Amino acid sequence: MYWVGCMASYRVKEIAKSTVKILKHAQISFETLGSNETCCGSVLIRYGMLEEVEKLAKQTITTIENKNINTVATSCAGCYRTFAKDYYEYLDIKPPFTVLHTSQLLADIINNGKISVPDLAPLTVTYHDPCHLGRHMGIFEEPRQVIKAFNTKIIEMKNSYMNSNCCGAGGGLMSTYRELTAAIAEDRLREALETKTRYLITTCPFCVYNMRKTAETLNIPIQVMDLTEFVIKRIEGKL
Amino acid sequence: MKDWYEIYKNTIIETLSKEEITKTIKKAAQKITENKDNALKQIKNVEELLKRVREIRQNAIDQLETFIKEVKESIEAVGGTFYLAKTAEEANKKVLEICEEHEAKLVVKSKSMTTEEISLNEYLEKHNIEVIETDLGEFIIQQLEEKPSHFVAPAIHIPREKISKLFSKLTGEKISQEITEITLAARKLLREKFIKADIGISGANAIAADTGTILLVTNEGNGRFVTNAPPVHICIAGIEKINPTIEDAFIITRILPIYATGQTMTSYISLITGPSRTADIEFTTTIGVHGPKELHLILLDNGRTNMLKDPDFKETLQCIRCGSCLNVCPVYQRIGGTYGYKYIGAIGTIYTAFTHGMEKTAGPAYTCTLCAKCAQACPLELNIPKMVTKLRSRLQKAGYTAPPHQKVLTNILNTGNPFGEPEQTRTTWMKCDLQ
Repeated sequence: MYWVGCMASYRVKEIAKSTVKILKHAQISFETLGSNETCCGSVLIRYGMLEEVEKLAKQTITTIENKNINTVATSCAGCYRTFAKDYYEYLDIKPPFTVLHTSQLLADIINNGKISVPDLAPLTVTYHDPCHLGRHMGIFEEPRQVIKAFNTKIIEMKNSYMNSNCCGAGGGLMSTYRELTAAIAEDRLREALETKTRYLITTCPFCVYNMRKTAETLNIPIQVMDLTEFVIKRIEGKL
Repeated sequence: MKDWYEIYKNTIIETLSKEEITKTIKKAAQKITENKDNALKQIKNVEELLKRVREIRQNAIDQLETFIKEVKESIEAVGGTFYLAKTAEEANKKVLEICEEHEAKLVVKSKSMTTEEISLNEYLEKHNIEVIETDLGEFIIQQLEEKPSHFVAPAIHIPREKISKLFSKLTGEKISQEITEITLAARKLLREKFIKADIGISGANAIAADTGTILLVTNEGNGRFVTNAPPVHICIAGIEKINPTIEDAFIITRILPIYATGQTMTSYISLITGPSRTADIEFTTTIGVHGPKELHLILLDNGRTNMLKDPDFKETLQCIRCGSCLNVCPVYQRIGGTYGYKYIGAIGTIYTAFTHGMEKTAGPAYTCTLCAKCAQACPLELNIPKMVTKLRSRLQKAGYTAPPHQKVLTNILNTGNPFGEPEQTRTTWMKCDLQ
């Protein structure tokens, strides 16, 4: 099942669209919860509203369980961490299904040859490890494998992998202290600029939304995109 | 209680607008981290040391109540006095009592976050006792009437131009922006104070339970003057500074400079066990020769026992206050000392919750991005983001909910998404050409 998540459903829809396009291209059968999908509670966990999340978590798990789903793939690094770690860590609830982030699914699809990679001109990009996916969950290599599979070279930022710097959108700051979120995003974008690449790829809709918006506001010449957007653009020859 | 959020938010916005300050902080913080990484490469047995440090701190905190009793016995056995202050008020009163006993007019201090916690300087000044900070950074912020912005480098946010102006004013001479000229001016200004002072007040970086030894780590050498030149030495430290043995305490000070300043070792580590003494005349022990005749140790609780009894936050007490978590923090690099009340940074929000209460910590506690760079930088491997999440949970229960968070919760409960968008529009994105 493809778990779209609130950010990709409402705020960065290109991520949801790109993901579905890729899955169709690879002829993977999947379903979504459609308009029955609700917030997984990730943001509420970050706010410390742990009691409020409990009901939400149980409800979400039951909905997925009732559909006899074995594997759930998420666009959002926050949803991924919530399903794979936080429900258990903070609420002692273990979801009865496997959770993947779309970057893991993509790496798998590519490894199994389900996507035919066209001949492409070489490209250089940099990659931002989202905190929720990288440092918190140890997923560093899969997104990089996917990028490299499309004849693309990654120039690493000064701080990457375990040392990656936050984009500023975490911990509920995007709603409480928006100005600070933007300031931290600027710091990260400046690090990305040092790589002299034009594209910043990442794997979390919060990071995409925040850094894209900040780059636009401050006229920072770097294009921020989600891994799925990158992949579909490369497949379609638009990048 | 209502305005805590707006007030703090405005402080953040104000700090963000002072670009010069944030640039200075960022540069310094990154430099310390670089130095730390280099220092770590130079220490051969670093993993072994860190493992030992974690064991020592855990053991110390697990049996803290026993070790407090042992410190009392050890320090009294060498002729010092021991006082356990339950609150900030009690600690301040005790210091004042000692000052009054000695009719003290001038107190010199070496850097202590614990005295900052209890606002000791303000308290003594209110009672007409002059207090001079002698750590250069602390001296600068004291003279400029600013707040410290870092655990170990309190004046990290002040550019040298401003410092040279300050010293020119203080000395009445033209002090250039050359750092050596500034330090020479400080040396001249403070030397006289050390000699004149009636009482020296220090903190402690570690205390050994078995010997009652106070360990003080400095680079400037001011700690030695403060604890040696005046006739009376008062040491104020949180109860968590205790370590079981003197060997253990030394290992803490062995690792501290690496993480605090990126040095493989600091210039000075002072080990103080009781007041100055001699037995040179007829082997009769007499207290007070060149060093202080009196040594008073004041251990401060001020909410720490509550922390100790709280399984969610107990591990905070293991912190050795190296500040390496601050240096890598993206929020700290942007707003410096604004990120906290008395205690700075994510770990600071937990300390503040117990020492100063929920209201003071609410704003800063919601400022953490939970990115976990701090946890990775911490020599004790403390799970700081998890503790911050738990602290937020307590804040929510105590009624400290940030209004935007309340709105998101309401939206989620009503519409299933944080934005309050209509449920049926969740799938709008599907209605385009997906082929």
